[in-house]
Amino acid sequence: MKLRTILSDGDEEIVISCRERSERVIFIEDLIKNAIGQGDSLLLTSGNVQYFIPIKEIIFCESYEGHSVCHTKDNVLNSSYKLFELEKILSPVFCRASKSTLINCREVYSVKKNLAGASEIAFRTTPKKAYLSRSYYKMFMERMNETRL
Amino acid sequence: MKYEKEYVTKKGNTFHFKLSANRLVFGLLFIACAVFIILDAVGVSIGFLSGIPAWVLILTAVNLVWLIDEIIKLKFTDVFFPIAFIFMLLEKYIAKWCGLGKENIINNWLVFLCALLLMIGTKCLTPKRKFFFTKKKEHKLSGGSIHSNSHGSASTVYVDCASDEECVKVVNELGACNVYFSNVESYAGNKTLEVHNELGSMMIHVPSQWRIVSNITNELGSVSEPEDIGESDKLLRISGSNELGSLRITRV
Repeated sequence: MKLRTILSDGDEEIVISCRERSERVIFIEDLIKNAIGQGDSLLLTSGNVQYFIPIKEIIFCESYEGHSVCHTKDNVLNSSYKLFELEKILSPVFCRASKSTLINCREVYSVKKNLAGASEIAFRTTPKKAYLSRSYYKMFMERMNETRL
Repeated sequence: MKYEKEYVTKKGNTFHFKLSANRLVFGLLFIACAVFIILDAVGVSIGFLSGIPAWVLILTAVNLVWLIDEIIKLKFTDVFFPIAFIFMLLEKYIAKWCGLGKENIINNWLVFLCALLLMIGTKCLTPKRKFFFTKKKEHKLSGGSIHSNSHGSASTVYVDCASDEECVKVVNELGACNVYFSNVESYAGNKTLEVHNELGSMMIHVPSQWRIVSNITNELGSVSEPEDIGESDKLLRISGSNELGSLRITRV
């Protein structure tokens, strides 16, 4: 697959030229939509306060006692969506790390592999940690490679 | 039951002295055994048990305690060894009381071998029992909720600041546990977090505007706390213990 950038004076436009709209092409479309739509935000709550948090600021999401909790760098907020709904809304940048965790692949700083149990994920901008279960390890690392150069 | 006292020296150093009932009892027992041995060696008679050396009596008592402990736990397959040791210790006196001519009734190695064979044989015949008394550490709490992770896995605990509970307890054994605080806008500033971390790793993420007052006893582990931020409206008290694990309190 070739990548070309053409400078022009007109409106900025991204065109994907392909023979058929395969899964890979759809994935690239979603990536670009996510990159463009970084102003998109998610409604989250904390106590009586409602926040509109940009998706790029969400580091990871967990399900806890029947509801979803989203973590930003310095806050913990509740979401009305279930985890599987968040996975559809936030993908492809967000990926499952375990049955109860969704991770923002762009915020991952390191993955400390543990052969005996869950691997530890550290993030760029916060000392918070998440855990990657062995059954999701391969899928997660493939997604990490896909979302990076 | 605990006895605690704080001593302050002239130089201003503070020493904490803690004595639990268990330590008191065992301490006195060991001292009594030493006194008993000395009295026996000196030749002081101790009523109807005179003639038997003190060390034999002490070891017999220890084996009796072992035997009773196994019976209480319903582990009948494990009673043969303490019985064998008691027999070996008192063999000479048993022979004398029974009026047998010789002091050595059975060779000690044969007694040991019999006990071993009996134990193995009964263990093979009896099914594995699940109901026996175990002394499990009970984490009691005067109020609030208890979150426990004792499977050696990774877990997350969210402490709801909007709830009325004044105390929340988190127990982590052999696992990795992260503690977060949710609904922080509703926090009144009067919560106590009680943590017990054994052989695991625990990380507590406290909002940066909160002041932390911690009182964590650390035994052969590591506890890391952030710097004090001075006066603040929101106060969080963290108490508990860390045994052979790693406990880290960090500000987010």
